[in-house]
Amino acid sequence: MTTRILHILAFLLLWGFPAFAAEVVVVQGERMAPFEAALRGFKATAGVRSVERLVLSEQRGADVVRSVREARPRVVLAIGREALARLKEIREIPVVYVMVATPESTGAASRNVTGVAMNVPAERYLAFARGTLAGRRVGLLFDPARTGALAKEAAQAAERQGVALVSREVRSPRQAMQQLATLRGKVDVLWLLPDPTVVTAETMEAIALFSQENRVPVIAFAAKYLQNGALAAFEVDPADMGRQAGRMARRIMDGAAVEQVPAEAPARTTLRLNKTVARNLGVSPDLREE
Amino acid sequence: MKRWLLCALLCLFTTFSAISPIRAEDNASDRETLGLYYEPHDLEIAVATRSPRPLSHSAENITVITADDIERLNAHTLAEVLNTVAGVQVDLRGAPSIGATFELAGATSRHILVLIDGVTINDQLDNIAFTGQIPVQNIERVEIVKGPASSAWGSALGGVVNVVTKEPQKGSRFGGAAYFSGGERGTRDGRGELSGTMGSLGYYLAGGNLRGDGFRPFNASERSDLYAKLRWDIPENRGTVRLTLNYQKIGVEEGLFTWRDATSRLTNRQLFSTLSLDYALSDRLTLSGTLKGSRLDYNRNESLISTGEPSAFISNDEITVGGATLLTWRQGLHTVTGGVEYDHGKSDTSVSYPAWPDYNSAFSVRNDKWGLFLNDTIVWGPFALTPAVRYDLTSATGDHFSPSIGAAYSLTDKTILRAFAAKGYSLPRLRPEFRTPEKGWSIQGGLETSEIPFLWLRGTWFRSTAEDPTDRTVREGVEVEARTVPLFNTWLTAGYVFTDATSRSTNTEIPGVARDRWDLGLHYDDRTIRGALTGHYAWWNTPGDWGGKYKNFIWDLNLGWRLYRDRTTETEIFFTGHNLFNGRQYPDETFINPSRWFEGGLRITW
Repeated sequence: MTTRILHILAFLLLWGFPAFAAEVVVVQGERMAPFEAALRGFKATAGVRSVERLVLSEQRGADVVRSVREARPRVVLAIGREALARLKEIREIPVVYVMVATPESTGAASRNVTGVAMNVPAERYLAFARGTLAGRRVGLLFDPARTGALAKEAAQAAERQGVALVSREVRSPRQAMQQLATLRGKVDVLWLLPDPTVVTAETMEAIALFSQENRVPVIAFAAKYLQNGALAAFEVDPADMGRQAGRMARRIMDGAAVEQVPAEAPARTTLRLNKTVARNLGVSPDLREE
Repeated sequence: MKRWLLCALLCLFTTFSAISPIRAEDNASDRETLGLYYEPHDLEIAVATRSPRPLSHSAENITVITADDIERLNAHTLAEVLNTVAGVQVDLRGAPSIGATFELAGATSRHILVLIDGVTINDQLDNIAFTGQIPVQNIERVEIVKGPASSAWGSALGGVVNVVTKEPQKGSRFGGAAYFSGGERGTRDGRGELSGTMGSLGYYLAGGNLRGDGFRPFNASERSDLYAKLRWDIPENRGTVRLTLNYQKIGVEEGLFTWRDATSRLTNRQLFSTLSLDYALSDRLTLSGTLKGSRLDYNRNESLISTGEPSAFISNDEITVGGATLLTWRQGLHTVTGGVEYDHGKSDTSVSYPAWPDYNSAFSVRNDKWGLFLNDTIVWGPFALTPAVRYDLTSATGDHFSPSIGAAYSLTDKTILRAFAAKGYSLPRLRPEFRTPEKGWSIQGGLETSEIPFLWLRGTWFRSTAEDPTDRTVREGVEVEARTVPLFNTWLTAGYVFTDATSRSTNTEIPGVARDRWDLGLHYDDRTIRGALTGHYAWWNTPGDWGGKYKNFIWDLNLGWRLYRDRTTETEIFFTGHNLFNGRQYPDETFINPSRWFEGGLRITW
């Protein structure tokens, strides 16, 4: 019996080792649930037979770039910011990224890099603010070191849509609360960026209070803030973004040049609403994305 | 000691709170970024089994409790934390830090391995860990594997409780926390921790003192504990070296045993230490090595109730030294972990009866254990296969072969199917009269899904056997857990476990195993006010002459109000009402559960 079990185990251990030359090498920072979901989505649409995975938190001082090069994959999938930043030296293999909030901040912008950014385009937020909420003045707090690029993109989008973007630079949560007070009476809608300086447990309380006292709806970037007093949030699904990245990788493996597969925003977003907040603000609860 | 500790904590807090924290780096980590989008429990998936893997690839039935969960419970000891987990039945026996037995799906304390930093807390003589004596201040995470884990850890027929301690705080030289609570019957708990990183050297220190007069006659307890961890990051991010020291001293009055006219007083001292290395040998190969040592020293003094005269002295001194080396190789579909473990254990016991010196005895036992293990995680698309084997050679109880195989299949993004089969064993009590280990098989099957809107659901069916030369026992049942998503800062939790445990030699139910267990919870957290109303109910089906009473739910209320919070500092006052409705729930009248009692306190973190 024992011998039979050992034979079965030996077979299982050896099974799959021929996968040395993987079609796709996946690099991710940590094993976290959203990353795993994105990878599952990628595999569902990329149509690849062999995938090798490198998890940075488990590799410690290993030379990941060298490992990727040795595997000679047809495409590298970078999941998360840390992975994309680590892969910036790779210029000769197509790199597709996913679950990266600000790809440009990684220094990996190159002709061989494309992917799906995590952020919903500014146009979608502003269209919702202007169209559905009838807000002509949109307030924005941002830390230039964290979300300066997103704020710049927001300013350009606001100009195109004819929305007045009332933005304030902040460098600490305390300053965020001070600057929030200066927006009183000057904005119709407050828009939250994924900025850890601005969005903290402490500031969210102040933002909720600001929203209630001034009847200013808050639009957030994740549904978790609906319970903190935000009116609406545009939610993105990691598995969806993974599937989108998988389709991009498939096109590259089918022969398209990376330049022909430009970076994309999340194709599918879900508008989530807090109807109690809507009622309290006197906003129609059957809100729709414009 | 207590006054000294509180003064020291106050001084440290005053000093360090004046120091400005270092500004966070601009390049946010993935965890920090995702933390903006998701709740922490939506990110935590990795578990520290011998081969760390995400829960979506784990075939075993695993529950993870985080430091935040522990804080939310206002818990004092590991036993209180375990008592909130579906499938874990804890028999809390009075004041905090009184020894509490516990079981996992019908497997009793003796079959469950409890580890802190990879060092077993189970004593050698009885193979039992007293989870009621383990402080929670230094705990980062508790991972509970329900079912045999012998293919990874050796003697663990019923499961594993793996305690992962906190790491030195990064990004700051000084961080810490101070905690004080006080309650009825002289219950007082004072704790503190300091943590930081200077260059490549990090430190974490924690200590505390917990005491209470108990809730039955002769049921007081006092525990003091100290914990230290030093971590050195090897240059070029190639690995780390860690040194840990963990000391606890516990004095417990165990209660009145009227049926034998005795009271018992226990003094327990424990010291655990580890020196460990994690090092990347190559891009695919990681080496981990640990040297470990522990000393357990307990003395039990028994006296006659009727005369007050001493009736028995039992002393036991245990020393264990050992080490483990692991290699982890990641290639293609595989993550292979193999290693060797060695423990040398020695236990000296003496028993003396002042009135009957002829019955005095002393014995010494030793156990040398070698363990060789190899396990693999093969991930192929949505399918993960986890074969594992372990071979143990023990000087006291012979050799043991423990294979296991598990599979997890992600049916959809939100649904995972699991199956797991394992052979396991448990070392016996190492007293001369018990030298036969128990062994058995377990199979489990389960499903975890969040397909139903706003609901997370997990169900597991299990069947486990355990046999020794005198008996064969079978435990089978189902476990169901459910949790709603937070709505208006409020969520519900529920758990139900049915366990049918029978002895095949007598064809009767095993007394002392909880047959039905319910856990219900109503939780609220708006980041300023938090609250949890939790209820536990267990039906033990014990023999009538045990005098047990268990027809009531036991309801506890935990409240907290965060008075002040900025980016680095937080102050919270909290309150706990234990056994709100004065319910009775105990399988044995010797250990009546505490009646209603209240406590409150203050927690400061910086």
